[in-house]
Amino acid sequence: MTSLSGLADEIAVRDVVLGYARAVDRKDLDAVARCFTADCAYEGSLASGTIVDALAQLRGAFARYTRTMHFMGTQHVTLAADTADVVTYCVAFHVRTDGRHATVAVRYLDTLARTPSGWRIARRVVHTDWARDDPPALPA
Amino acid sequence: MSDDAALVRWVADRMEIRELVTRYAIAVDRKDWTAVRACFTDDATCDYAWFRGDLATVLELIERGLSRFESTMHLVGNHLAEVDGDAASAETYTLCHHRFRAPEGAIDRIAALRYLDGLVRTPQGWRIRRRDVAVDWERADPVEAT
Repeated sequence: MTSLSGLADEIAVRDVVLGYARAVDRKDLDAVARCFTADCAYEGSLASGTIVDALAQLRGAFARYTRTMHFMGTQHVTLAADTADVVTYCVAFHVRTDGRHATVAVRYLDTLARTPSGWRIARRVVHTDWARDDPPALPA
Repeated sequence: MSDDAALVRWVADRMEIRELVTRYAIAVDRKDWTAVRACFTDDATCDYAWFRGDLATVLELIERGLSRFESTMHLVGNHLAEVDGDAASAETYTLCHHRFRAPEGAIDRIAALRYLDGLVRTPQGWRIRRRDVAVDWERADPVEAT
């Protein structure tokens, strides 16, 4: 049976992944970094290495888009005592500086760890499932 | 309050606040204006980006605005909330699909936005007292013949 602390952990774990989306969409690099352990293993289109490599690429990515929205849907959490595996589906909308809309659908495969300062992403693999690029379409 | 009681309260608050913003999205799509109204305190104020004002003003404009669409779908995604006693703030990502019939054919208009809510605990449960809408992007695309 799920315990009270398990329920609270599940909410806190979801908050970290959703907090990543909020931080990226606000272009707040420090807040992004706070979602991860300092040595988080990272494998994705941004980088292949650690979160430090990914953060270095992210700064440049911020400049390419006037706005992003990392819209997260399906989220599945498997809790252990002090770790959690989380699968999160995300459709990431990117408004380019020329107005075009780049859309990338990814799955974040995360392992989070309980640390003295709360849950943090300790390992992340990002799989891209599909992507498209559309011309701007003004609201009617 | 014991640690367990505080934790129960926090988990319940988070679930109830999530239920409230989800209920709003379902109510506007069903055009159930009574249920929409029940999401807010009587003294709520809102800034919906396209219009703003007190609750009566905003509800009338929501009803008038959404009634011209054949269908709407408010797809709720990311939801984060911070609870502080009897107050809370929440940010909720929503993709709002609006289908309408233009002379040249059907159009799908999408507004991607974030609801930024200030909530209060009332005897009837959590209610939105302040709502701001941040529009991240919009587009309108013609729909192929269906």
